[in-house]
Amino acid sequence: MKLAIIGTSHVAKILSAQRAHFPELAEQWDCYPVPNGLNDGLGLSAIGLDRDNKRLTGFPGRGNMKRALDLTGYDAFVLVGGQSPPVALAMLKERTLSASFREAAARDLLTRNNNLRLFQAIRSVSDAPVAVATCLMVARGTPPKVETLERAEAEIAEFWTGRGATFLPQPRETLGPDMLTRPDCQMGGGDNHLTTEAAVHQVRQIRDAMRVPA
Amino acid sequence: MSDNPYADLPANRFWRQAVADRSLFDIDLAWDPKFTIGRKMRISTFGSCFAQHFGRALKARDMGWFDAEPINPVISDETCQAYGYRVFSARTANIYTTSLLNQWTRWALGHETPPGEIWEKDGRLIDPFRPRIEPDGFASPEELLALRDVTLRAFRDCIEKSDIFVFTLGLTESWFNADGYEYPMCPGTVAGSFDPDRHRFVNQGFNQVRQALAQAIQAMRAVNPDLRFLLTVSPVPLTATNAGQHVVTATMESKSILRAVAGEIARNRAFADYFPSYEIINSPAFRGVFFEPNMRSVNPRGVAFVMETFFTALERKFGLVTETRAPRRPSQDDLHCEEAMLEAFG
Repeated sequence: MKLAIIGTSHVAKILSAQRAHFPELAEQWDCYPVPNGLNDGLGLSAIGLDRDNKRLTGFPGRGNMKRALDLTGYDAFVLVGGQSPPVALAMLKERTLSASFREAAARDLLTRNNNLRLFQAIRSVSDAPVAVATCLMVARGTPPKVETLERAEAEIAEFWTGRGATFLPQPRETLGPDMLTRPDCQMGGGDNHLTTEAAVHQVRQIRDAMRVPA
Repeated sequence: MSDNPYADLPANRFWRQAVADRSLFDIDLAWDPKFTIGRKMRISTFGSCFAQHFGRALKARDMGWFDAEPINPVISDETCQAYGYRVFSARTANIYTTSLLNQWTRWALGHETPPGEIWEKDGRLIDPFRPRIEPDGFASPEELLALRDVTLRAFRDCIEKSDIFVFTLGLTESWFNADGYEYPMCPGTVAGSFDPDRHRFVNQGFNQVRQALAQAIQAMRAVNPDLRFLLTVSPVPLTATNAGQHVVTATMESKSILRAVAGEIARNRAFADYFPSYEIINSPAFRGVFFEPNMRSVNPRGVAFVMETFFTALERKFGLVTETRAPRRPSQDDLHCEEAMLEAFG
């Protein structure tokens, strides 16, 4: 199965883990990373659809990275880092807000983001399976309650299932009991990226989710 | 020695040199701010509609606009603003009159308890003191009251934690309940029902407007003695008047009173200042070019001109205190992103 992984710099960690631990996937996986700081800060928002040529365009194309993605050249797609944040959704649930605003804000969270925009772009020219990986949980601070986070994850999963996509929650191996990202699994001094070792779990998750049924 | 007191005055004291001989965009009202408004200061904005522009301009310049009821930045402005978030520093909705400002202040500081009145519309509940804050109303009295409490706490935060309190005076015409409390809108217009025996129209005069503003300021400074005030008057004419006059006449009378009060309060207090946004939009010197065709709404050019005048005057007197937001620079997170990219792609 030929797989395109599109997303923020988190894609780079997935690629590092894949190279280090899953060399057999090298021929099957292409990565298209667009860090937030690139494209004058537009990041993934700079990626557009060239419908006539069935391509996604606007990738930075630095080094050995590609500038365009041929949507007909892949059997499946994975979107990474374009927001589908369980923490933000859970915080809406725990804060004193009107039910009406909470609903409107949740709709905003789920629909006004690059994950959905890119998903719709892919879907407009391809029926290939699409999976959407959540952004990482915070690594410190006071997170929402575990049950609220789990409810938020379930709602996000339902949202994507309803659109014919698969939601990939953050691998449980990278989370502590309070659903914070485990300190030993993240790098960068903030709530940033998984370490290469922790990203192995994400590679495994993607591989298993996109595996063609026997 | 001069022949008379006018002989040595600067050119901007004379209409011909200051206005008639100039392009309107070269007219400089020479606002002389009493105090600086620095980037690191916490600034709250409240009042009539026009106050919203101050908040937006402060945010656009990365200044310290205080959002006391913050919503996760990933939620859009459109959604937030439809529910009164990110409009004023707390979710009070428009505070049109100085007496309403005083009422919010007394409630927030615990000097009085808000009345229990709640309106109903199409099976939903409306807060009489911010009737449009929820587009579809509240689901229950508990929800309405809990969220009003949140806003009262946020408003108190604004009083206690701000360096500058910007207030835009909007109206003199007001509606009171027979029990003495005030509504921001006449009952029966947006919601509620009008009861001539309970609802009383008051077109406030100079003394009433001044006294309410002075009381509000005094109460706020009692809990935050360092708080400074920047007063403006909304240049937006009345939508409607109940004062028994033509709407133009009523508007001019109202605005004249508000302008006079703002001037007097600012003149007599070192910690209060007046910024002439009202004059910039409304003076005949500017020929009405800053209004939309309905001659009521202020157009974006007018808003931009007002805010440019504001920041230019501050910078002229105090040096560079603001700068328009530069193109987004990579954040620390982005830098980490770059590190991850370099590691993977070399």
